[in-house]
Amino acid sequence: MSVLCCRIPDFLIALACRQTPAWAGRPLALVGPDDRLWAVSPEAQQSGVQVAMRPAQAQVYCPEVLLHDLDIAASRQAQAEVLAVAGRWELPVEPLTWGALYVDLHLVGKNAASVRPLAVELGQRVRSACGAALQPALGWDSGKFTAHAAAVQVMPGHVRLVDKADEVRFLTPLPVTLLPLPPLHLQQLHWLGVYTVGQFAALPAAAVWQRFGAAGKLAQRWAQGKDDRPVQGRGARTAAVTTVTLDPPTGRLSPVVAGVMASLQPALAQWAKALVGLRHLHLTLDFVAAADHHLDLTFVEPAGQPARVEAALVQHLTALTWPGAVQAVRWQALATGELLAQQPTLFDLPDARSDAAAGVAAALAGRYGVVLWRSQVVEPGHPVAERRSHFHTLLAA
Amino acid sequence: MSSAKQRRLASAVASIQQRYGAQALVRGGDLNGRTLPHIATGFAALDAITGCGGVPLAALTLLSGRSTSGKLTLAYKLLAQAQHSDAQHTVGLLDLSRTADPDYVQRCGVDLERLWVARPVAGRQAVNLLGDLMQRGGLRLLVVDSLTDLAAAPEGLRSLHALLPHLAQLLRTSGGALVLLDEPHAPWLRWLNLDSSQRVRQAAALHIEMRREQWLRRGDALVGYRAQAQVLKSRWVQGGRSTVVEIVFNGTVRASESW
Repeated sequence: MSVLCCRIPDFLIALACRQTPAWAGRPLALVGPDDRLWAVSPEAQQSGVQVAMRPAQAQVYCPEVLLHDLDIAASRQAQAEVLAVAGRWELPVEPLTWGALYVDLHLVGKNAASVRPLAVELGQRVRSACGAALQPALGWDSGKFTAHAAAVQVMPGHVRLVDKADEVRFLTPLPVTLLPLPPLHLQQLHWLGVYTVGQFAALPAAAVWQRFGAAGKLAQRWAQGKDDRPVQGRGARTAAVTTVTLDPPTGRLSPVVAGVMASLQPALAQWAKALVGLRHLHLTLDFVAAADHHLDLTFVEPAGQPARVEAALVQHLTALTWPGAVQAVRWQALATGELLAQQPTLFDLPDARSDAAAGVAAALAGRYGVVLWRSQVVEPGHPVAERRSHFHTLLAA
Repeated sequence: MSSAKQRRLASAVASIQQRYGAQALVRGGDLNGRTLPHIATGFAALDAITGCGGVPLAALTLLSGRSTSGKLTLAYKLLAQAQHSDAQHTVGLLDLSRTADPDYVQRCGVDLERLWVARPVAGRQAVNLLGDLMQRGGLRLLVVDSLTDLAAAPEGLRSLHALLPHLAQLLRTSGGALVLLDEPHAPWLRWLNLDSSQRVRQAAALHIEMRREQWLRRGDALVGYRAQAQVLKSRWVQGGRSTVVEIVFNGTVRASESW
């Protein structure tokens, strides 16, 4: 395999600065349609502003931050331009995220010498099409993960080619946070003293499997340079349609959400094992005595957590005016994508307090076992103190 | 000072306060009379002698005393007070002795829904958990019952001594309070280097020792006890002050200075 990764760092911010040059070099955050930050400039990140914060939170961290609505149409158009530039070779091109894509070069170049002119040409084409503000960084290797890691490591306007022989040497000192593992697993690795990709690659495979499951095993293979995922061009797959029938038809939100999530969760779990998340979900609501309604849920970054998908679903269904009761829902995963290394939580979980407890308990459980409890008095008058109450773990909160 | 200089100074102060917050730069004179962030104990007389209005936030407090001296009840009262100051505040109890009775804790006024009870294996794991809870728990107050159990094993004691320098920073970052319960140690132990809590006492901002003075009776019935609380060390006032508190266990625990 021969994979070239083209990545424009801070794509959305660079795009906004290209349209309004006065914003360049200033703390800037772009607000998405869900009233959350979708992109944050490096200057704002230095003050503690992060993606997925609310605008008010961002102003607390950085009072000087410029908050502007994200121009989604312009962003999509720019993304399409980048894809079109990469698609001129008529080679398979797979979009990764905003301003990042993979190109499969195995038909035209299999070693560094033959790939270098192609990479330089692609970089020049992207720069001439999108302007000097959107400088791409390019990485090449025989696998997707290493190619992406090379593109992350290199400066914009440069290319990093990793030979198969140098792959392990290149990957070994990189931070383990480059792997798209869930935050909890990365935290456990930190506690275990595993800080680099090389350390993770050297762990016993059975131990990784036991602690981190199938996703951890796959990530370890990538860390060892054994990434054999093909570049999947667009339009190559057709997703199956799943129908959820609601009997009796209901006009309430919760049964509809529960029905969709029940059928969606196995698919999410299956994708999570392959470190893949949901990027685009198409929903068709079949109303009784009314026309069908179509909904499109697009995620700024592939979503792997059911809570995120559920929160987005609730948000869209709440904003919708229901003309009647729903008798069936059909959903189709139109696009999935590789999970990114840092997954922000875009939405508040339903009960912040109990989930905070559960989150802390789950994080500590990885290191100490079940140690956090909450007590409840069940028989206050019992003469034996131990029988007056019982403890239940916070993990179930 | 000329008016131009004054204007420049005022402008500089305003810009710093705007950037880093109003508390980032204040005049020295404004610090006088400012109340330190604290959790009231619920015993007004005791609050008055600690020098900070109770148990300080973002600092370490040591509460020592023999069994039935009232230190655990005082700690539970502190948990309740910490919860009452804000409906969102969560508190924690590191129950190393595994003797916490939720019924009694509840009767001391603690909302059990907002109380996390941690029961780790004593030793190094417990010390590490203490650090993690302070760092990530977002707790308003964490009570450790007790320091004796925490430092029972030599490795636990070593870990605790290693954690102490970082603990001050953790407390400042989290803004929560940490209360360690301890048994009193005989003075001669320190000469034999057997006093395990000496370094904790040095690190503590406040050290209160409880002593039971007498049982309170109503007729033949035992209704509570009177205890003496002495401030052995305080970062804000001279140590040595003491007061008397009465702990009544007729169904509920009341904070009353007189019967």
